[in-house]
Amino acid sequence: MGKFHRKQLNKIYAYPLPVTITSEAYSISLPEVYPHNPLSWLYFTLKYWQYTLTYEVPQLSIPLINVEYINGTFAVYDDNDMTRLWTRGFFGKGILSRSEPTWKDRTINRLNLSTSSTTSLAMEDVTVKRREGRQKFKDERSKLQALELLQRKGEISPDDLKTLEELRDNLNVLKNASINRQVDSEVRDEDEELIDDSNQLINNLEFLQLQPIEAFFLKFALNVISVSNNNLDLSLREMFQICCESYGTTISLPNHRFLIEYAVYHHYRSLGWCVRSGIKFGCDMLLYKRGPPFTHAEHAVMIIPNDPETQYDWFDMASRARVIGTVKKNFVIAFVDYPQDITDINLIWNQPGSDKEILSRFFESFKVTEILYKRWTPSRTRD
Amino acid sequence: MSQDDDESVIPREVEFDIEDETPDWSTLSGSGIPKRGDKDFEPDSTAIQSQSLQSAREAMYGAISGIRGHHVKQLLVGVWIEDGSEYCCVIPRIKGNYFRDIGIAGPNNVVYLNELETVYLVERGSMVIYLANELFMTFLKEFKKDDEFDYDTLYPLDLEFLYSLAFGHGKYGIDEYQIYSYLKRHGYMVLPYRQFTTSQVDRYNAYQDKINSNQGIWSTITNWFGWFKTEEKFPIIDSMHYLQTHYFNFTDVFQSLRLIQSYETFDSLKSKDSKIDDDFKLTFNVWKPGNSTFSKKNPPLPDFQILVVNADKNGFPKLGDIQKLLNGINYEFSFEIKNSNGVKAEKKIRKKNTMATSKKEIRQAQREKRIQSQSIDQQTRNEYLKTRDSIFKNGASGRSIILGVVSNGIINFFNLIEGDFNLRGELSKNKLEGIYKGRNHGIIYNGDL
Repeated sequence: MGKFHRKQLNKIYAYPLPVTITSEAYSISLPEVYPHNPLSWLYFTLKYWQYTLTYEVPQLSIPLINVEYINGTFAVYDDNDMTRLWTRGFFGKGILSRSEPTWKDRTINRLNLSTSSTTSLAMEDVTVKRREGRQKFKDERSKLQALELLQRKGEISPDDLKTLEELRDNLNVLKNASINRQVDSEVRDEDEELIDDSNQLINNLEFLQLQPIEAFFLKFALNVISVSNNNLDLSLREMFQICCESYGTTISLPNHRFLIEYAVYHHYRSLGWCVRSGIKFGCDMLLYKRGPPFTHAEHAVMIIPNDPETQYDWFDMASRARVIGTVKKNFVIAFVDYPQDITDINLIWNQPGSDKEILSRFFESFKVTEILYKRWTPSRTRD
Repeated sequence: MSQDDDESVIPREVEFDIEDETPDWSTLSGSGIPKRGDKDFEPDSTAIQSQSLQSAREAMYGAISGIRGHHVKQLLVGVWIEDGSEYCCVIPRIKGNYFRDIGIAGPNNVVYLNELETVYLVERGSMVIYLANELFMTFLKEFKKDDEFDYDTLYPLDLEFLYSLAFGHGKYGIDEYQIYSYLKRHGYMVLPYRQFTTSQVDRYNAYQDKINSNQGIWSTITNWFGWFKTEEKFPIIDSMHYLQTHYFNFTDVFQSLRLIQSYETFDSLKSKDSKIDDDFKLTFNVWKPGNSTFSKKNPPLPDFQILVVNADKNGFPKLGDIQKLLNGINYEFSFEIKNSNGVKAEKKIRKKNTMATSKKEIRQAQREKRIQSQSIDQQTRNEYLKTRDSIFKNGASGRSIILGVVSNGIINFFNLIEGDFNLRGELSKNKLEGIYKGRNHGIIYNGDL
């Protein structure tokens, strides 16, 4: 990855959560504190109070992100909201894209609707280009190999020998070639319906879909979304019920899958990891240090409630470990302890306090314990 | 893996684990194994491929065509005795160098073996074995050094008979033997599991008590000061929280999200009554072939501690089982290690390599060179990140067990390691504080790193 590219990414994905903090909103920062220098403490306190009194908390003026709950799906429709959720913490998935919602940009590029001259390539397009490049390389290589065979047999003509040298040089060039950043435009008949009279895209067909754990985190922990169902705003308690029901079973016990998964999700999110679904690797979650555009996920998490009923077999575990090991990830088994004394979860609402208070107290009694699973090959560890 | 993912946008800088590399065999053999590359075997109607194959084959035939057998003087004889003790085979006179980790010495240089060791030696053709009779038992009772016995009067055991004797009813089964012999053939030194350190729970808690009593007044003072630095916890009551509080960095935001409890290294040792029960008992202590400090009588801490499990009879262990096993291993706490000489001594012992430099060594040298070309700040930063990653991947304590899972004769090994992701434990903190002071290490998002 080039330095330039990295800088660009750092700019786009500068913030890890969809919460705007004071130092970002007003471009201010608190002074350093040196433990041995009391003056610096004083200065810090002064500044802190100055900022706190003169500035408004930035989140106050930022409207909540609208999430609609439709047919069992948490959906975000607004373009800016989608971008905000994706660039700040990598929440959700564009339903017409690989992960980041890029359908609109891709379509504008494809139909040549863009007014600005600089168009950036979406991830999906990069993949297509890379594949084309790779195919070309392979074609050239097989030509080279055919000639090399002739050479080995000693049947090569001087002309062919020349071509062989050229091919060899050419392959080296192809190997290190960077991809062409130009998008090929291509219009299909059905595209007519996407464009209005002034040659603009009518609307974005794509929305951002959130997993229930993501939506619940954004509501319960960060309080940055409002969820509506048929134009009715859902309370935290209603949303909690919906999330649980979305897992198929009615909720009564504290080892309900949604609760167990949410506990783990919240745990890693609060440690600053970017957490995404692990379905592509046969596990429950993937942990990224900063996010998908920066590095591959380093840890693959499998969640097991710590109770006597849950039983996994060796084959199951070994197959997961094998897949995860092959893609050079670390296999983490997250055992979850949950409050054993609660026999009916619906009773927690009888406790005093707000919904948030009750849920916080409830989740406080969950505990995540990590055990790492690694294949051992005796022939590799002899010295 | 889907095609979409193998092309994820940006390749990260892959840190190759040197352990994962395959050995470079071509440095070992003069004949020159064909270079790796295009995998497919495609006959190209030239003789090149078959020639190199033929020469490799001849090298192998050459290597195995030497006459193998024992000189009569080297003949090792064992006798199967069953006297109800832990051992089942006696060797009146030992020969050969198998006994570094095999057997236990009796009076008059007699050596006793257990079932695994006996079958292993017989199966690899290193020992012949007879069934004891009364005559032999009397001989053994009055045995003095250099006494001879006429083994032709005894009944010789074939392997089949020996298997049924050894694994029919004793404490070891075929599963244990398969793991034992597999590791032995790889050169490992294997002894039946024994705990030669005292209980981890006791030692850990004794140390904690000592620390707590030593701190006394000082700790109350620091605790009082600590009040200023209370780690912010999840804003429980306040549903308006992020609308009312100023934040100046995201580390504080993440800290305020802390709600779910999580495991810190050694947590499972903290409850003083966590007794280890016998349901899951470790099977073997294992040392690497190159462990030069090994001795049978006075073994150092094992490199690996193995539990043999039969996949058809047991399920995957539960968290409680795993923690009991981890608490039951032979382990030395960092606070028990007197000084850092241990590391240095190990380095000295390592023999000088006389072989040609391998790819592995070249890469290692390159890495060291690269590191030296970096600025001090860069080096510190990289060291910090590396140490932190290593804790995520290998745990902070290094406490781990190996499970040898046997399913109808097929073996699968894996490691279960005590993990630590919040890095709040004393041990992980110490490792990281030494590099960067005063950070919240567990919060992986760091704007300035």
